[in-house]
Amino acid sequence: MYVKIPLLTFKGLVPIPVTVEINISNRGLPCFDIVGLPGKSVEESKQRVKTALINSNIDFPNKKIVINLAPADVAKDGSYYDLAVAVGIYCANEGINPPANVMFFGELSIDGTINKVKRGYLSYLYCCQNEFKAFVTSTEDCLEIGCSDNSKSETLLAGYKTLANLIVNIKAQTILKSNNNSEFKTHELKPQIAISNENTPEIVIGQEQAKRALLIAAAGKHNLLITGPPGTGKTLLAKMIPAIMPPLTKKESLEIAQILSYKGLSLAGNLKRPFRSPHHTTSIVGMIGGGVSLTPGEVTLAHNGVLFMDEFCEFPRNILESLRQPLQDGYVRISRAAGSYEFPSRFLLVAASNPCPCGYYGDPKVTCKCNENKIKNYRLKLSGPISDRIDLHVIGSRQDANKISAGLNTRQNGKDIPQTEVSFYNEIENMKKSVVLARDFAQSRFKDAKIAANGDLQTTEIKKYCRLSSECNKILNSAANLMNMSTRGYIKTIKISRTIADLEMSQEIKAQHLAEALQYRANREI
Amino acid sequence: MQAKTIIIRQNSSEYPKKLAKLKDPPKQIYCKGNTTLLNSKKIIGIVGSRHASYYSNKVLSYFFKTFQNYPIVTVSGFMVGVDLMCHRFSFDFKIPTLAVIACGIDYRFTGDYFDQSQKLLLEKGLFVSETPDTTPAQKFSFVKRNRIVAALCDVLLVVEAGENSGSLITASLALDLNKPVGVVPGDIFRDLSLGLNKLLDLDNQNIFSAVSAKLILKKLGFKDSIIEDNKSVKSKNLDPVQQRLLEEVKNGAFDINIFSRKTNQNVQFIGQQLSMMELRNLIVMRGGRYYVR
Repeated sequence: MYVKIPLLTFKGLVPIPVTVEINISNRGLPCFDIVGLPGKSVEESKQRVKTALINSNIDFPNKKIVINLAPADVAKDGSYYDLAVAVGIYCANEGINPPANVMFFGELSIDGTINKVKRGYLSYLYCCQNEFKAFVTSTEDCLEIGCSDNSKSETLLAGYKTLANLIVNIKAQTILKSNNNSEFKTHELKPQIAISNENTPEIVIGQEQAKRALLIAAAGKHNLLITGPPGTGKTLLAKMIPAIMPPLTKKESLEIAQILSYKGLSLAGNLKRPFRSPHHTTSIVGMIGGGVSLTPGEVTLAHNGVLFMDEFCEFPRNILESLRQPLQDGYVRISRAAGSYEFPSRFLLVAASNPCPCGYYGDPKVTCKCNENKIKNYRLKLSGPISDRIDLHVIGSRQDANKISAGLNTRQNGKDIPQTEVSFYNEIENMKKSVVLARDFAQSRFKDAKIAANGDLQTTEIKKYCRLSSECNKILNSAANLMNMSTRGYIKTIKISRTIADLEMSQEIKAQHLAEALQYRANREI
Repeated sequence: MQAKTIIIRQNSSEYPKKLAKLKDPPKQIYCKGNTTLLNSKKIIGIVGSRHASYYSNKVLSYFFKTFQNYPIVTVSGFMVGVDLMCHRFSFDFKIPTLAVIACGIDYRFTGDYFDQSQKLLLEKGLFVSETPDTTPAQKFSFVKRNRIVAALCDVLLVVEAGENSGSLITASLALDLNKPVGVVPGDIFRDLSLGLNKLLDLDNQNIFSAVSAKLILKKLGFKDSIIEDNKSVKSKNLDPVQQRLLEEVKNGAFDINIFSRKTNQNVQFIGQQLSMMELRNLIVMRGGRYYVR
C-alpha cells in the first residue's frame, strides 16, 4: 500500500515542504530503500526505524519497502525523518491512512523511544502558519516549544515518549482527540517560561563617560568602539549593553527563537538579548556562517543583540572585512554550490581595543613602550571601511582604587545616599529607562518608516529626520574645519547628536547635543 | 610634489652662509617651498630615533608650547619618528619648518602619515635636498643629509636615540661645527636612551641637557625678558567651569570621570564644555585625550 506524510527540510531558516512517500509492495525481493537525495543521517534512519519498530512489538513487513522524499532533487539531512518513516511503514503495512494534516517529527532510539532533535520549534512554527491540525514529536521537544510564545495556535502540539504509545493512538484514531494518552498536550503548556529574566550583569564602577557612550549606543543603536589600557573594564562595560537595551519585542524574540532552534540550542533561558563575544581566532565560517551543514555564524547568533569583539585589532583582516555586509544590510547571504542562503544579522557591534600593542599609549601613569610605527600599524585595522560603520568612539580610562571605592558607596550607614547627577550611571535600571524612553521618542518621529533607531539612518533619511538649525550648522562646520573631519565623520556626528537629543526628549538638535556628539568622534591621531 | 623646484647654487646670494662653513658644502641645493627660511637666524634642529616612543611626543609638545611664542624655525629630516613629530608640531604651533630629505627633491613619499605633512610643508615650509629628480635615498645619503641639518641649525636637539642612531652622527657633526647640542635626558634602562647617554658622556662643553624649553631658547640667544606668555590673554572670557577645566588639562593627567565625580556634574555637561573649548582652539583632543593648545 502507498501512504504519504508531510514533512519539512530547511534552506537556511526557510522551511521547504517535503512529502514522505511510503510504498510497500509484495512484488520483488524484500528490501528497505530511501530515495530522494537523503543525507547520511537520513540514510541511516533505516536501521533505527527497523529496530525501533521491532523493539516496540510492531510488525515490520518482510516486503519491498520504498520510501521517496519528494521533491527528489532537494538534498535532505537530519535525523528527524525517523518518526514519519516509522509511522508511514506502520500505516502502509496495516492498510490504514495516516491522520491527514499531521506532522510527525522526531528521531527514534532503537528501543523505540522518541528523541529530541533540533529545529523542532521552526517546524512547529511552519505547522502553525500552514494550518496543520497537529504536530507530533517527543515530549522534550514539546517542553522546549512550550517555552516560546506561540501557545495560542490552532495546531495541537502533542508529545509522546515512545513510538509504541504513538502507534496505539494512531490505531485508535485518537491523535487529534483530547482524550488521547499522549504524555504532553498543548493545553498543558505552562504560560511562557520564555523571555527569561535577563541576568543583571555587574555594574562597572566609575567610567561615567564610557557608560554615557553605552547609553547613547543602546538608545540609538550606534556601533561602539571602546579603547583603553588593559584592566579598565572594557569587557564588563560591553556586557552591560544587552541589559540596558529595551526589552525584546514579540517579533524579536520570535526571530531569536528561530535561530536558536535552527542551531539546535535550547530555547529555555536563551530567549533574551543575545550577547556574543567570539574570540579573535574565530574562523570566517564561525563568524559569518557556512560549513557543510550550513550553520549560522556569530553574526546571526547575535541577531537583535550585541556582537562584542574584544581585542578588535587582533582579528584577522578578512574577518573584519566580512562584517561589512551584515552591518550594512542586516543579513548575511551565504552562497555555496548547493544554493544561497540568507540569515538575519541585525546586531549592535561593540568593539574593544587596546590603544597600542603594549596597551598603555596615552596612559598618564604607565609609560607606553611602543614606537610610532608599531602603533600606526596596530591601528591600521581600525581605519578600514569597518570603522566607517562605527559611530561612537570612547576611551576607557584606568581608575584609581580610592576613586573606585568612592563610587561604590551608594549606601552609607544603611541609608541610600541621595542620587546625584553622577550616580545616575551607577544603576542599570536608570539607564534602561532612559533608553526605552529615547527609543519611543525616536519612534514617534519615524512613524511609519521602517527605521528601528537613529543608527540605521541612511544619508537621505538624515536630511529628513535630523534637521540642524543655522546655529548648529555653523558649529558643525567650524568643527569640521578645525578637527579635520571627513564627510562621514560629519554625518556620524549628526546621527549621534540626534540620539542625544532623543535622550533629552528634545524635538530639535541643540548646540549642546552637537557639542557632546563631537566628543565621540574617531580620533586616531597620535 | 607638484611645486616648482628652485636650484640654489653656491655662488647665489640665497645660498645659506651656514652651509659654506662645512668641509664639503653642497655645490647646489634643490628647494621646494619658502626659500627665505634658509637664511633664518634662529633655527632649532630636532633629531631623534625613527622608533620614537610616546616620550618624544610628550617632550616635544612640552617644548613647543613655549617655542610658539618665539620667532624660531625648526629643521629636521622628514623621516618617521621624531623627525615627523617635529614637523607636525611645528604646523600645529605655527612655527615655520624645514625638511632636509635624503632622497631626490621630486621623490614621492608614500604612506598615509607622509601625505598630510608633505602637503603642509609645501604650503608653509620648505623641502631641501642635495640631489635632483626622484633619486631614492641610500644609506650614505642619510649621513650626507645629516651634515646639512647640522649645518643649518643653530642649536641641535636630540630627543631619543638608540645606541647606533643616525642622530648621533648629526650630533657629532654639529659639535664639530661648534654648535650647542641639547640632549633630552632619558630613562637609563631604555634602549632609546643609550645614544643619549653616550652623548652626555662625551665631556664636550657644547653639550647641555635639555630639560626645559627656556634653556634651549637661551642657547639660541633669546633673553629671558622677551618671553611673553599670551596664554593668559587666550583664557580670558571663560566661564568658571571652563576656566577650571583648562587648569586641569594644563596640569596633565586630566580624567573626565574623576572630574565629573569631584565636581558632581554629569559627564555629558563636561563633554559639551570640552568640545566648546576645543572649538575655541584652547585645547586639542588627540587619541581621545585632551591637551592644551
